[in-house]
Order: sequence, then C-alpha cells, then structure tokens
Amino acid sequence: MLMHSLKANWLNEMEKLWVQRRTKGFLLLTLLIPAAAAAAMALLQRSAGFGLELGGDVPMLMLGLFTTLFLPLFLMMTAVDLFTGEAAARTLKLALVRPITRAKLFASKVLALAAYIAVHLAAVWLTSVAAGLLLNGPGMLGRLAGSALAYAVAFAPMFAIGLIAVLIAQRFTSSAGALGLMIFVFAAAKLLPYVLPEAAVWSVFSHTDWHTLWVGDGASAGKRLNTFFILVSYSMMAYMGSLMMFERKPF
Amino acid sequence: MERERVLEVKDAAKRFRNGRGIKGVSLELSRGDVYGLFGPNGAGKTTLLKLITGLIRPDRGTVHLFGKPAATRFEEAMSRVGCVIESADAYEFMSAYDNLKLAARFYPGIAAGRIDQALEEVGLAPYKKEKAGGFSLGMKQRLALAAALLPGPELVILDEPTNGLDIEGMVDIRRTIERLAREQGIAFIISSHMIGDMEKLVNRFGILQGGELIRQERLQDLLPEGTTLEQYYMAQIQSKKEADAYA
Repeated sequence: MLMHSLKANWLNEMEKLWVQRRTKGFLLLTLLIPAAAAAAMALLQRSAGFGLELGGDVPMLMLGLFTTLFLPLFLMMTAVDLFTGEAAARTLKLALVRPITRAKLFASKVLALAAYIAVHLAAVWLTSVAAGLLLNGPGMLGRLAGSALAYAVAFAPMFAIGLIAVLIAQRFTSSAGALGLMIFVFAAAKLLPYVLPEAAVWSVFSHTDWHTLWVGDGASAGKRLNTFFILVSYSMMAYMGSLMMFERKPF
Repeated sequence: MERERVLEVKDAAKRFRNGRGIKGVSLELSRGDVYGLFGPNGAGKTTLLKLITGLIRPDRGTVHLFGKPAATRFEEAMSRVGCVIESADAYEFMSAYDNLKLAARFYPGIAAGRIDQALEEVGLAPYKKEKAGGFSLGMKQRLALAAALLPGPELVILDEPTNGLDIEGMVDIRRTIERLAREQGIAFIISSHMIGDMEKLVNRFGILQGGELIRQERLQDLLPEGTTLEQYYMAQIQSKKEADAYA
C-alpha cells in the first residue's frame, strides 16, 4: 500500500513517455545509429581489401558515442519534459492532487528517467552486438561479456547527468530556457578539461567514459572506486537539491 | 446525528510576493454540504483551493481532510478527494479514456468499467478514443470533472467548473452535483462567478475579498424574502469596500 502510489505514478510516467512521438523517434535513432555505423564499417572493410576486423569494436564505439553525445542530449530533453514541460502545460498538478506525496511523485519521475536510460543502453547494446556479429561473425562472441559489463556500468554516469538535468529543470518555468542552460552547462563542462585540467577531474561530465575503466585490463580498483564516489556524490547532491526545490514549489 | 466533518481549514494564510493571498481563513465542511466560494477576481479563491489540495503550502494554519492533517498525512487525506483546480487540464497527447486510466492507477480497486461509466456520466463516452488536445474548453471541463469523480470521492473541490460550458453543459453539471450531494452525501466546495446559477445549488457559502473570508453563512438562514444571493453578495462587497476606505 505504501508503495502503491509510487508504482502507479511510475507506470503513468512510463506510459506518458512512451506515447510521445519524440520518445519513439529517439529510440528509433538509438537503433538506427549502430546499424548505420556497422554498414559504414562493412564498406570500409570491403574497400580496404585487407583483414580489418572492426566488427568486434562496434558495441564499444557506439557506447562511447552515445554516452558522450546522444544519451546526455536525450536525457536533458526528457528531464525537461518530465518537470518543466509538465509544469508549463499545467499537467503536473493532475498528479499532485492525487493521493501521492511530492517526494514519491518526484521519485517516480526519477525512476522513469532511470528506466529510460536502461532501455536506451540496452537498445544500443543489442543493435551493436547484432551489427558486430554480422560484421565479425563468431569473433564478436568472445567480447560479449566485456561489452555487457561496460554498458551496465555506463548507467551510473548517465544517471548522474540525468539528475543534474532534473536539478536544472526545477529552476525554470520555460522548457526552452531549461534546455538551453543544460546544453550550455554540458558544452562548458566538456570544454573544461582543455582549459582547467585539474578542475575537470572533479566534474561529473568528465566521467561519461567511466565504462572504459572496466574494459580489458582497465584501471585499478582504486581508480574505479574513486570515480564511483564522484558519480554517487553528484547524484545524491542533485537528487536532494531537486527534491527540496520540488517540495517547496507552488503549482 | 452529527454529520462527518470532511474539511477543516484553520487560520490558513498565504502571502505572495505581489502582496495578494489569503489571511487567516477558517472554514469547515460536513458530508452533503455544497459550499459556494464567491469573491471578486484576485480575492484568493483559487489560492484557498490550492492550499486545501496541497498545490501551495500555507505560511500559517492547518488543513485537515477527513480528520487527517494534509501536511503530514497527505496520501490518506487526499484518497477521498477529487478536484479540478484553476483550469481543466489534461494530457493532450492522450485520449480521454487514457487520461482517466492514468488517474485510476492511484486508487486500488477501481474496476475497469468505472472509466467508461465516468465518461458516460459527463457525456464524453462517444469521444473516449479522441485525443484531449482536440477537445473544446467545455469538453476538457467535462473530462476534468470525470477525472475528479472517477474514484468515487466524498469531497469534491471545483474551481470555476462551468467555465467554457454551454448552457446544456452548465445544467448537466449542476444536476450531477445536486444528485451526488443528495444521493451519496458527497460534499462539494465550488468557487464560481456564476452566482445566480450557484444559488440553486449551494446550501452554504462564503465570500472572500482581499484574501479575507468576510462572510460565511448558511443560505436558508440568511436571505430575507425576495433577496437574491447576487444582491446579498453585491451589498457585502460594497460594505467591505466602504469599511476599508474609512479604515
């Protein structure tokens, strides 16, 4: 009973996301990009005329591309839809006047964002593995477990970025303003390592490639743990900050 | 036998940056009451309704719904309440049926047929598969009312429920409210500018002006022979204005 309202609104948020054209468009893009990349690689293999074996790298190449660019952008737009967009369309109050506390309403929206990340990562992995198998045949199979682990751990930085987008969304009443600031923050954070390399170590946006620490020999357990704590800290701060704002906001 | 107290607002106050809001409002509602909330634009009617439903937090005061404090036991307090606040909004990219399906998820035990029944009650059954984005204001108002009535609430809070409705729609809504209050003892609190129409519906009313509840009466005890509620309302507003001017 205690969790009924949380589950009810989580299902509602998932359904609302699913019926929107944009969500289906992004998911289609997520499926098409690895397929298109694999086709381009196949052409490259054929024209090179020698034993290039790029197929096995498709999942990791795609994960790098999606965690650096596409998924953060999709997440920003989804966070805006879930909070600023709904507040602007005055539909947020449809749920606020139902028997659900604001804390649970907020949590259910964040859980919907988490499910969104998981679905996209799974879609990219499945398409890129299928593309890799077509290009490289059985050679791909030996790398399956490694790539699955990389995709699983890639969830953490994407979730942290999603929560930062949620935090920014709380400050705005216009979707365009919220999205504009999110893109500015993201672009500035991506440029930070070139300007202030020391500060960039502490930026969550510098760790979107956290999954590379888990591939092959990867990095030491200490380095993985260190980055993990950075991601968890950002996630907790963004969650608590957003929740505080959401709880106090008049609708 | 004393009727169950469904709503109790005590000394509620909320002040916005523009200086408007409500000041020390208290009111009580029991089962079967149909309470009309009247007042000029900006008097604080919507603010009071938002405060009751948790859309805004009070600076001071308390709200109890069915004896449960809304501030600390919100889910329990709101589980027997249905409302339409400020405007009749809906998820425009979803059908009327799907809008109600989303609302139904919050209430365990709502039978599948109840959604169709709610749409039937407000006259939207023929349009149940149409997206709400294509609805007229009146149809959105009916859909919002269906969403409010869907869980079988015991207190219904309506903010300008006849906005955008045609005459037939207004009469339909008035009859629905009368029937639900009489047959099921549902309590209503309704803010409206259609004071003539409301006179046929309410048994109690309050007049808000400048954020203060200046009068709160039982209709049958109050109006002298031959006086309409509209005349009474205008006299009260005028006398408050004069009192404020002298103060």
